[in-house]
Amino acid sequence: MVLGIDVGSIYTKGVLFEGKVIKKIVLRTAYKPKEAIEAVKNALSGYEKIIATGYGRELVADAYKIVTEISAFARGATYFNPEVKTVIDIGGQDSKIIKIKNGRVVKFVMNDRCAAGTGNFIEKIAHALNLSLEEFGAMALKSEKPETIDSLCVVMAETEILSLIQEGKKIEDIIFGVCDSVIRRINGIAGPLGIEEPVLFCGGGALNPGLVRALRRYYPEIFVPEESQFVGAIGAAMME
Amino acid sequence: MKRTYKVSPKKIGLRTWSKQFEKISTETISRYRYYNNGEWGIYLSPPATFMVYGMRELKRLKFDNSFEALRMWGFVFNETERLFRAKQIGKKVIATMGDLGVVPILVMSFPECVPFYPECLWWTPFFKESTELLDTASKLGVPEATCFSRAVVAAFHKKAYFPKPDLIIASTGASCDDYSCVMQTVEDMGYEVFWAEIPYRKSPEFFLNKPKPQILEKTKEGFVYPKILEEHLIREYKRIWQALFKLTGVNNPHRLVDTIKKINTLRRLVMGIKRMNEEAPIAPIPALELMVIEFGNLYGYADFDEWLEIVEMIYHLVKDRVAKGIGVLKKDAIPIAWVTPSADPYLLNLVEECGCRVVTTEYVINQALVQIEEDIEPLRALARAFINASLIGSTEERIKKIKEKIVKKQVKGVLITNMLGASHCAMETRLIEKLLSDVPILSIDVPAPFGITQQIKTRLEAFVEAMR
Repeated sequence: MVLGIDVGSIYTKGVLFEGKVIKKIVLRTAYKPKEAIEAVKNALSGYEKIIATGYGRELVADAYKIVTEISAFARGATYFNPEVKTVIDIGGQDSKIIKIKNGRVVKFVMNDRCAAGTGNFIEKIAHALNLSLEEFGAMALKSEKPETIDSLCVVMAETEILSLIQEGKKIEDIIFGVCDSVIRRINGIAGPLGIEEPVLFCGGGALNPGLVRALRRYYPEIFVPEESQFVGAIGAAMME
Repeated sequence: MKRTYKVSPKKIGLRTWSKQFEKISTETISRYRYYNNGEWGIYLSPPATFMVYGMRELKRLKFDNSFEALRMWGFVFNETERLFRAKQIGKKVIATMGDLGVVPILVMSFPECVPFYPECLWWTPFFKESTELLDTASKLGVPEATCFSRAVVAAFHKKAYFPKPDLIIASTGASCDDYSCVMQTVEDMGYEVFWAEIPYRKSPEFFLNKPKPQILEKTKEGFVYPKILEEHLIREYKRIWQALFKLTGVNNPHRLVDTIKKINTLRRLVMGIKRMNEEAPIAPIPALELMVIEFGNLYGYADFDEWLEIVEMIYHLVKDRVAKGIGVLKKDAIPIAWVTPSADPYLLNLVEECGCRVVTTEYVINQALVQIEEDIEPLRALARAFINASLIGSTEERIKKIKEKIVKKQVKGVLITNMLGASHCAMETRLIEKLLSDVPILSIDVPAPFGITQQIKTRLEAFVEAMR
């Protein structure tokens, strides 16, 4: 049995894997990645080896193997759908678009220059609106017509949202507009790489129904696995 | 030239270098000197010495552990001192900017004239512990949206990184727009600038469709160009020659013939080093040292004769390592091509740490590797060699050359380092990515000093995983 650990910037995910997911756990990294890693290891005992991935992968001192989250996501996507050609991952700190073939990375692009296009952007806006992430996602589903949010900078977006609120725009339309702006940013990052279907959407961002809905406006056939947060950890475990 | 001691090739940090330096005799240290001056021209010292001058970020880097590399680094890092010394002893210090390696050849053909490239300061902030040069440039009106060569503006302002040049020759036209912008700012600061124009090398189709047919020529590297381009360059070189004549009172075209011969010797050596590096099963020398050697082709780091000796020494080192089948990287390092040089030298270290090996480069200074014809009129020979410059042509032509290298060198992937703000990077990187779609590509925006993060490392590692 292999323990796949994906040490993300916000959450640390672990899966016990033996041809299929035996057990899984997700814990908040909370700027204490080493503690989160130990907690995952304690919760998922009985493994023979550990394969680590994610932002804090090198902190898993007893890892048998360390792989980047990009390769891990590519491999993990095939667990859910072997035909997947593009993986879109919206994580807490960055977002990635990965083109894959037979579970291997062909090309990839990442957004790591600012919060735009990441889960962090959503978290900040939700916080500014005094909403939980669950409430934020649920409200986005109620929108009938998203407002356009042009600002890529989270600070400027807050100002823009404030203006829209003052103009009397519906909050659910503003929230869905925020989700749409994240996806437009993702499209922009993808650029010449292109997003080829079937697309698998994963990472913490895939747990947000507003982002899923916004992404489906552009790619109706996207596939969102139930265990979307665990794609990296599963992929790592599969790279034995 | 015999080496002073032998070590197994590897990359080492400053601490190890300082320890290793203790083995070098005083007699050896005094043997190597710039401007051939035994009193103050000694430059051999461990790289850590330069931390005293504020280059504290040298501690990030790993260097080749050979004596040859030590000599090279001592010489390269010593350039500022050398330029001030040149001025003190009555040499004329000529700043050349954006001309891609031709103007220094003209400068070196005049007695006691030393060329240097202010834009080579672009990597200085990456060695420093502060971003003072870049911050000052911003205050002086050249903001972050300009490439790191904006450090030059601050250097001219601070008058500390090189002496006041006796002549400043700057290029515009098909030269990098940022360099032109930087030098216009320098001109606004009160410096007199002599401008030369580098014309764009349009594609042959452009001329074939003109009502008046143009005479077309072809360079040895395969670039087709109209004859008028060559004539234009010759006119510009004549103007520069006249300016140098006015400055020095000397006009001896035979010196240009001799300089070209010396330049060709250097270029042959550098090409030899590059070829051996490409063909050897194990990389004989790190990518960082190779980049420094390649850039030295442009002007010899302000003492051409000494630089020529250094490169010759490195040539023999590489030859020796290749013959013995030894090198600085693992045998299974993945061969990649590097497009556009990185302002941050640490990236070259990092790429190798991630398991890559740079076998070929497209640093937009490839024309400085081309042999200059010795049997024709020298200014024409310079023009014909220069026309091979990839920066003055279309991106499509550049990509064609990169593609040829990929096939020839069995490259597994292409790494592009973008200079944030550099106009040509912004224009062509996406096009390169699109047209080289059949090979893994990674493009990185080189961040400002101290900006290399875990994410850049992740991208490099994923790039390696994709190629394996």
